[in-house]
Amino acid sequence: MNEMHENILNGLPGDDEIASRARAIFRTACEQADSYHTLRLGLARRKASSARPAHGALKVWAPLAGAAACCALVIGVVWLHPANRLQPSSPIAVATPAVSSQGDADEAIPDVASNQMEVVQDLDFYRWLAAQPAMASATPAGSGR
Amino acid sequence: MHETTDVEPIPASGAAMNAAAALETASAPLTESARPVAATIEAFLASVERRAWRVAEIALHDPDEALDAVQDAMLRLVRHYSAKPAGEWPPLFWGILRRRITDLQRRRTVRNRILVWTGRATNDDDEELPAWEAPDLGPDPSRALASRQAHAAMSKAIRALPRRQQQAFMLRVLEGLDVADTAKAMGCSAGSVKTHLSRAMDALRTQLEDWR
Repeated sequence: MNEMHENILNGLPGDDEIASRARAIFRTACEQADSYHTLRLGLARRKASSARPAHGALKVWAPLAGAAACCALVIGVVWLHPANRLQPSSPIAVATPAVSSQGDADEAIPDVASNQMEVVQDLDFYRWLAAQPAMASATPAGSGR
Repeated sequence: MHETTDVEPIPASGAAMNAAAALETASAPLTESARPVAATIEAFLASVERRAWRVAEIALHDPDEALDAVQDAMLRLVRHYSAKPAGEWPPLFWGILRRRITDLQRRRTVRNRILVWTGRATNDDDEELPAWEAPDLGPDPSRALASRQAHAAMSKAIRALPRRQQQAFMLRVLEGLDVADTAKAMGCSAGSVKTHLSRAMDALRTQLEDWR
């Protein structure tokens, strides 16, 4: 605005006169604004002034909190997923293929010397479960008679 | 609610401009003192609201739409930029208002195209609407009338300019922003502001010969 003190348009001398008169007419029009619109302008200003500024901190922290929550969820899911517990070196991972074939089951039984009795019991259960379909398919044929 | 002065087609030159020349304010000096920076955002809005409304009214040719645009610009300024330094408020406010005006102008263009298709188009410039006007309680009604006519003529001349030239003229000349703030408000370079303003003055010089 300070440059208004200079030749505002840097153009022809008449341009300054046109600008000056335009500004004067504009200023007069602003002063003579009708009361209806002046009142509404005041109301609009008060409404705007009472509006709460948008929370910049919330705008910054909300995405970060969301990202942190997503990361925690992913880490939790990965950590707690049963597939992750089946480490290749663990006995059950070694034992799992043995369940599929009845003949190799005995070879796949892990060393139960220490604390792995539960795994052996599970293998017994899976072995029993693997035998169920054969029994189930045989049952209807026998009951037909 | 339209003002009578805005719906009446008034020639851009001739008696209205002579009346404008007769205005007392026409002899105001070319230079204006720099406006003081408002301490609070409410004080800033109070200082700028009428000028903003008049600028929007010139661009939109509708006082109520202009009021909506100003109110929206005020709200956006308070919500998003009230924490900025007070010196940055003018270009931010005028930039917001400029974009809002452009949005409304584009929306109006689309609406008019649809209305043309449906055969219900109206020409806003020639539309005669019943207007309510407050009784003029001023000391000199003839001077007020001359002032309104001059403003209507000037508005019509400015509206005839291309949009960017309108913006440059209104922000730089009528509002009195400096080149840098005008460039910020318009979202362009200072050189572009000067170019737009120069072209606007060329066009206005031919339209408003009687102003000299």
